[in-house]
Amino acid sequence: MRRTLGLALAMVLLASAAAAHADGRDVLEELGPCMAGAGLPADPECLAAFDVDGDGDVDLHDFAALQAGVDPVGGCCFDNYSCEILTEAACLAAGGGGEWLGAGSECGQCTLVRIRAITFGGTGSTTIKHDCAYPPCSSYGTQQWLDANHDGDVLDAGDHDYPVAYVRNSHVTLSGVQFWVSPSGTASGVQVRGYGPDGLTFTGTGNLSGSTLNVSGTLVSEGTLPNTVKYYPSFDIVWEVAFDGVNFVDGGTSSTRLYVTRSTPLGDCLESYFHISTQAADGLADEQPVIDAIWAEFADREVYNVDGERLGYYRGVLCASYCTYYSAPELVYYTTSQCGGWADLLRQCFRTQGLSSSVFVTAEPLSSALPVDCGTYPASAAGFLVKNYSFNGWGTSCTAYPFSFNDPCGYYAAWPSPTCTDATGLPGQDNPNPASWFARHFIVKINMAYYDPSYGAGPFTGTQEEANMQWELGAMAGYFGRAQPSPSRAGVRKDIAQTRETYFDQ
Amino acid sequence: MIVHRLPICGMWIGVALALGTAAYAADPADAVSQVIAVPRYNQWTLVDPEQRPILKKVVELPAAQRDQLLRSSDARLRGIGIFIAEQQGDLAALLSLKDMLSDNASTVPYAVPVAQVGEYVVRPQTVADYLTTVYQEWFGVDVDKSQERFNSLLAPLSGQPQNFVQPWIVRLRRAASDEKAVAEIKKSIAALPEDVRWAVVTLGYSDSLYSKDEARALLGGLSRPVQERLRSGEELLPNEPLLQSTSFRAALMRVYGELAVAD
Repeated sequence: MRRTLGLALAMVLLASAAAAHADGRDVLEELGPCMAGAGLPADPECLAAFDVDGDGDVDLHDFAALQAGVDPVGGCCFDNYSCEILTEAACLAAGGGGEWLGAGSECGQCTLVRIRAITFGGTGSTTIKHDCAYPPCSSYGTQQWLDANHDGDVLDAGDHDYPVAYVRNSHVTLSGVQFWVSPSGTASGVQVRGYGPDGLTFTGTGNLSGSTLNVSGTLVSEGTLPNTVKYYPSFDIVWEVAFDGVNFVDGGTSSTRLYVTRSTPLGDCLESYFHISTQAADGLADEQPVIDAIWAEFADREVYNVDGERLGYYRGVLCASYCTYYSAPELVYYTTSQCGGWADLLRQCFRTQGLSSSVFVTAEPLSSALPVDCGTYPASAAGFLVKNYSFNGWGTSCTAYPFSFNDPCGYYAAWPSPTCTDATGLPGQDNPNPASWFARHFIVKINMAYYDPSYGAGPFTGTQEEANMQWELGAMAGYFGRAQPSPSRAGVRKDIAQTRETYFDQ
Repeated sequence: MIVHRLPICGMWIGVALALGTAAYAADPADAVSQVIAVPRYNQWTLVDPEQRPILKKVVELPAAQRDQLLRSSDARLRGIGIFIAEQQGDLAALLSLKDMLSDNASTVPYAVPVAQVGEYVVRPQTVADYLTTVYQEWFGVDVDKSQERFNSLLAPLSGQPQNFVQPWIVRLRRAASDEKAVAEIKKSIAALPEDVRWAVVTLGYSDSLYSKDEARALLGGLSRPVQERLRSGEELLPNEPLLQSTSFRAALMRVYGELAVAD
């Protein structure tokens, strides 16, 4: 009975002692089973281990004595940024400015380190430019990662996160790598390492002065980027720093948009060109599959700029003159353009992946295949109508251009009751019924195949004339000219299927 | 940004006047903007040669006068000099202009490709951009305003520009409405080294510049060893940059295969 009471008391004391002195828990728990109480026989091993007062037993006196001797341990931080796990007394006795952080603390709590700035560059890198309507556009510049207030993100005023681009299979080279460190101090030969995606690692050394740790020289990745086109929405590098060369502490994480291109980019290098073409061709390397993948991005008539804005073809207008954007930069900046802008954008996406042989193709009515009109000075068709149009009986006296037509720009005098009228379609980029009354149209040719990005149509293959015919069959509703001299009004003739009435200039 | 619009008729009149001035007047400066302000990307070829006397006059301009323009300190005059050399198809002259690829400061006007009826929109274009477009047209490669790229792509072949494939295609295309000129060009092509000839004919067929019968006859006229090598799939290609593209080579070989299989 006495022994039972003694054990129960000991367990209560042990529980409270363990809560108060977590680091002494193991020793005291081992002592518990040995407590037989005064006057009771004790296990020789217990006596050897726990008979602190030497009275031949293991009891509460021994427990108290033992408890007083178990000091908790914690992180002890020294002025030279090294650290050891010590008791408070040992920490103070160690010298070197040792600061004990408390029971149970870790060395990682000694210092706070945050990645502050990184500049990407080196062989295989390309400087990306902001989208702007009229190049030359401004470059994003260096320090592609800058966490100016070192709070762990790049969302605050003064921070920025710029995109970077590399040719596939390149090493990633970093310079100007800089950390913010607290508490401030001085140290040299600080070890730095970073773990990027796909096994890329970075190692280097730096010097601490005040609260800034500057990594010396450049860090060239061990390992290379994939040997394919690849888009990293967030190229994360997890950083670690060891002031003592041994104990690495968290240095924060940098996150950068990184585009890996097939070959060295050509052209203006606007970010939207990278964004569209690199995402489309992700995982590919060979020329034709990259071309096909980029084209697929246009063929679905759903193309977005880097800001996530959908790009359109003649958005909101039926008269071509009302859309005054003609080039790829204007298209990605203003999000709408004429056909010239769409053809330019497809070419720029190819060029951004280093594909250099695409050409700009002009399509116009083929004058030798179309009759002269009925104007004061008879001429061949002045332009064409892209599908769809409704034809409801002849309305002019000009047999070559018999359907009366009112153009959407008011270029010609209006008929009271036109017999050729616009109908919905052919759908263009983000537009079910774009402008469709043109003097000419622009498309793209690469590797002897023709692509019409405004409508997502193609590729058209075969000889130039065969491809031309295919394109015409899908697109042409008719051709217009003057149906009468004065007032000058327009007449339309229908496209004749299987007769080529348009012309590609190359 | 400078944007203005020219009525098409007025532009052509302006161009015609300009060319006359450029070719024969003491001071061609007045003509510069109009002459350069023609649709880029080869839209000249959409106009029948008989209807563009301006081009005939350009081609007749003596090289000395053209080179005087090219050496001018006035960017606009240099631009018109490039235009004239381009229209003349003087490959050696064009290849000698590589230093201008670094001129990103001077601009010349050019006509933006627009779809609407009766309008052209004129904007400035750097001399470097313009020359890049000219090289792409004549040699099928994108030097991207870079002398370094020029040196790697075109300089090694500058000594033998007659053996480029692409210039023959450009010559044929531009002469399309002139049967006599086309015949002369095709005669020259028939005399090219076989490794250039088959590529020109195959590409020319793809561009509808040769009929299928013409192309088959010319390819059939190649020496037997060359035909056998091509039929075996060997890419017997001139060492020019256009043909360094693997996908372009594949497309060319596919067209050759179609013609040869049909033979």
